[in-house]
Order: sequence, then structure tokens, then C-alpha cells
Amino acid sequence: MASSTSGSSSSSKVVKIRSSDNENFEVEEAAAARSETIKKLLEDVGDDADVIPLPNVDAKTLVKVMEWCKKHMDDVDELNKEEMKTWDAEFVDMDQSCLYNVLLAANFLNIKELLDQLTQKVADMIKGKSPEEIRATFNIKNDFTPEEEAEIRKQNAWAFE
Amino acid sequence: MEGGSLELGIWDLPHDCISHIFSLTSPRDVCRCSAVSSVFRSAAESDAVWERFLPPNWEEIISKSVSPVEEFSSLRAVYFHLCDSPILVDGQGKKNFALVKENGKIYYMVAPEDLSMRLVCVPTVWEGIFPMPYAYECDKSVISRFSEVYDVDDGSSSWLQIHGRIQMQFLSPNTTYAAYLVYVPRRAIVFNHWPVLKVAIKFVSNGGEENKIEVVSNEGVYRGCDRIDKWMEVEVGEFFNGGQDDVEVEVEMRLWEIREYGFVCPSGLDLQGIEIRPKEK
Repeated sequence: MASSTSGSSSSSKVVKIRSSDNENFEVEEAAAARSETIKKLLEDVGDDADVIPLPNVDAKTLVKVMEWCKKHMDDVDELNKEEMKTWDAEFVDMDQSCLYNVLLAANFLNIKELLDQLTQKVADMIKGKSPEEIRATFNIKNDFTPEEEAEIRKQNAWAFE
Repeated sequence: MEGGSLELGIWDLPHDCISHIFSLTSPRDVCRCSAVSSVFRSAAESDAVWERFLPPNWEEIISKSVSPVEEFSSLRAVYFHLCDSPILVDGQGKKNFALVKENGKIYYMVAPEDLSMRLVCVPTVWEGIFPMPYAYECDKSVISRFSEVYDVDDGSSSWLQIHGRIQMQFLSPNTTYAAYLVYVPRRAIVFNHWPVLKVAIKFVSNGGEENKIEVVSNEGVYRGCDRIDKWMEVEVGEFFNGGQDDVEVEVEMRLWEIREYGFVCPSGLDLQGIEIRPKEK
């Protein structure tokens, strides 16, 4: 079982969450509450909460998401903004399957800032590429007939100039 | 914790999510995406994407159109309609609105009838042998997006002074705009050699000290470039729109034609208006 190493704020409240593959995690409440979904569940159940089940998020993904939440637990002052930017850029630099798992989790857990960072990352992977390059990047199969593709390119001719 | 996650591809993301990702790219990228696969195409043509590229007040702009605007099948259709066929809006004076295809930013043209023009006769500033000819009357023979085109030629005197007002709320915020004078010389001086214009321009904002807009004064000699619509244009100055709604900028422009070959008669010109466009980086 993975548990949070709480560091300096050891006195803060800890909540238990459970992944879809039935692993339990202990996370500082302030970190878990970055997720609007968890925050709302906590408010609803109050102190009676035993373990909060997250049926849509597997353990591997949850570890990633909570890593981000812990880093973003406190407000960042001006001084650390650059450092945080670097950390965020490294955080979203993961393989595509992992990226989409975390993205779907961020969507389900309603963590807007994380979702924004992840969607921007995918958008940056699309920018400036030709359709062939996009297919190669995302491993997408071209399901158009040559005629269909030619027609679409004709309709959008300006974008291929 | 090995193998805990499903192996996912971009196609496993919900349709809305892919549309959202597309809206973070650019109109050009989205059009390229529509040629990737059928899933990408349907996301690339969704309203959610094109809503992000349209200016927030696009419905207001269309509702003020002088001529009836067709029903649109999608927001993508609206976008390209506004890019390809500028619409004439009659609100506070006649203005021609359009979008820049690459980024969806607004540009517009102030028609001559919405500009106040004055002929300033100062015979002593003649720069050549002949007096400078400027005047205005309508010339219906020249095709223009506006119903009337101003003809600036009567053989009398000196320079043309033009005043126009630009309401910042109609422009895209945080954008550097350039002003272009759009015109057609009446005749070439020698074969294809068009007359050169001398332009002095001043932008003055009406905002107080706290919302003062960056203004630029400029004076220079310009040779017009051809436009795709058979008119010629010269870029005469630029200003930055910081996004304050209530600010109005006044443009004051003085116009001279310059004789390059001493003896050549100035041509006079038809003035379409002043076009305000986002400046390309």
C-alpha cells in the first residue's frame, strides 16, 4: 500500500482514497481537495468518511494525479512560479497512453488546472503538423478513401498552402 | 504497480475533449486535422471548436449587417463566411467587418462616408509644378464593397485631410493593429508606374491618463501595394489595442501625391477607406 509522505505539514488531515483496482491511498486532505470531485464527496460524507472509492481511476494513474495535487497543494508565490513551470512541463512529458489516462482521470476528478495543462500538451503535439505527421504522431489509421481525402483537402485548401 | 492502466490512444478520449484540444491549436491546424481521419474530422468540424475562434460578439456583428445574411449550417460556416466575404455593418456609421483566417481576429474598414474629409488648400506647399488635385465626389463606376467610392481629383489644390473614429470594442483585444489606406490611382504616371503618396497619420485616443492607448504618429512616403481585390493599399501607421472597451481612437490622416518626374501630372485617386487590420508578426 502506498501512503503519502507528509513532510513538514505532518499534522494536516489525511483522507483515504481507493483506486479502481482496489488499492488504498492516504493523501493529505489539502492535496486531495484539488479535485473538485473529491472535495465535494468529502463535504457530503463529512467526518464519517472511511475510504473514498474512485471507480474510474486505476492505481498507476492515481499516483500520477496525486503527485501533481501534492505539488500544487499550496499557493505558489512569484519566486517559485518559474520552478513550478519547469516542474509542470516535466510532469506532462509522459508517454501518450499514460497522458490520456491522466487526462481522463483529471476530467473525472474535476481538476481544471491539471486538465488544462494536459490538453495544452496534446494541442502542442498537433500544432504545425501535416495530416501525415499527425497520423504518425498519434498512430492514427487513415480511414478515408483517396477520393474523400482529396475532397477534404480541396475544401480546406488554404490550410495546406 | 505494473500494468495497472489501460493502453489508450487519442481516439479513446471523449469527442468533447478532442474538440477542446483542437480549439487550443489554430484554425489552420484544425483544418489540417479534418484530413487525418473521420473521428478527427467530426471533432474538427464541431461548433465547440469554431466557437473558440469566432470573436465573442460575432452574433452582434452579423445582426447589424446591412444586407441579409444567409442561415449558417455550422459555426465553422460562419467563421469562413466572415473571413471570405466581409459584411457591411451599419451601426455607428458604415464599417466593413471581416476576420483574419489564420487567427480569427477582427479587421474592419471605415468607409469614406464615415470619415470626415476636408480639403486643405495651401498653395505654398506645392511640391511640384502642378497644384495638387484633391476633392471628393462619388464615382459609381469603380467597384467597391461600399456603395460609394470617393473620387479625389478636381485639379484644385493641396492636401487631403481625413478624420475617422475607431471604437476599440469592435477590435480584438491585446492586438497590434495597422491602418491601411485603400485606394486606386486614377491613372498610371508612366505605363505601370503608379504615383507615390505622402501620408502623415496621427492616432489620438480619447481615454484619460489611466487608460491611455499606445499611439503612434507617423509620416512617410509610400508606394502602394496591389491587393487581391484590385485596390491598392499603403500601411500608414499602427496602434495597440489593450482591450479597454470604452476607448475610441481618432485617426487623422493627411495625404499628398508626390510627383516623381517633375513634369508629371498627378493622377488623383479613388478612396475606398481606411482598413484596420491586425498586424502580422
